[in-house]
Amino acid sequence: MTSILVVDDSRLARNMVSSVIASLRPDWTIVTAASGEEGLEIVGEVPPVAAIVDYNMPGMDGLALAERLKERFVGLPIGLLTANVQDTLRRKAEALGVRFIAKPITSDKIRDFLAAAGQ
Amino acid sequence: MGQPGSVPSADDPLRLDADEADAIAELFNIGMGEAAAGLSSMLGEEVHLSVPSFAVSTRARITSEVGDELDGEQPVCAVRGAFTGPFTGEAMLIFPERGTLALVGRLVPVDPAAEAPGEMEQDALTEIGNIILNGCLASLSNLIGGELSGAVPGYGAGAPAAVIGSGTDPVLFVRIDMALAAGDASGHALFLLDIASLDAFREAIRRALAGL
Repeated sequence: MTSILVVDDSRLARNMVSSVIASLRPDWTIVTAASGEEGLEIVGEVPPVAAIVDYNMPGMDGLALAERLKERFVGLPIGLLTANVQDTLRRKAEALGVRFIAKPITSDKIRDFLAAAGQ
Repeated sequence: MGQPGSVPSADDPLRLDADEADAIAELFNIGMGEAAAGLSSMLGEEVHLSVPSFAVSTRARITSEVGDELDGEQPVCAVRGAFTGPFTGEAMLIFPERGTLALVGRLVPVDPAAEAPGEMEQDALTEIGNIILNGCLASLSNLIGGELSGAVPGYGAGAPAAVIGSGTDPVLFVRIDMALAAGDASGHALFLLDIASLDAFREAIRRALAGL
């Protein structure tokens, strides 16, 4: 089973990302969570093919979540969703090997991310 | 996404359901994110943003909520301006005096002995407010596919009640806290939307969702 993890505190954003993925990769299972903590719990030990996580969330932010996910799944492609692309954040994300996906979400941006992730 | 209890229930005359409240918060999250990125590149420093909270409130309640966090009766500095378009309201950026001096000190030399912002510091805060508030409104305009025009924001200072107001009419209230990474300047971006424009706002959100 091919699965992808989507984490965003906004239901709207989760639904948008999920519907784009569902149209691009209809056979994938989309695992969604509303927080970093929930995402880590729900994803378990079976590596997804990629993760798309929001940056600005209550509790654990997307970068901290990305770090935890990278510890658990070495080499996991991760996309960080944010409209807030600041240089400091960009450097931190690059150091972790995390790509930015600029909000608002579009089908093209998700397609580019999946292509870059080799999917 | 804000405090769940603050979202009016479906039988409330204001009738914003959880999905609409979620959408409003997400639109402001995107708008403020883009604006903060602009400010960050101007300051050369990281700008932290909170997750937006959204509630139906009153100016009196907002004054008490925000004023408590800003040290009660201490004067605050604000940049605020009305905006009009598919919906109308007022946007404001509020910092305590100390935080204002620390913030504008990134852009202009500030007298270390200064207790309150002088004319040059007020101008600098007004420019920052302009970038944040109009940047956010511009992003929102793009998202909802309609033009929101903001008046040039103006500077004001005083007790929180004098700046925010003490009216008891209901307003839609979006709040995002912002802080410089160094921790010496923390403030609030507040957007107060007229309830009279609620239907127009809801319609604008629908268009935004349809266009995304």
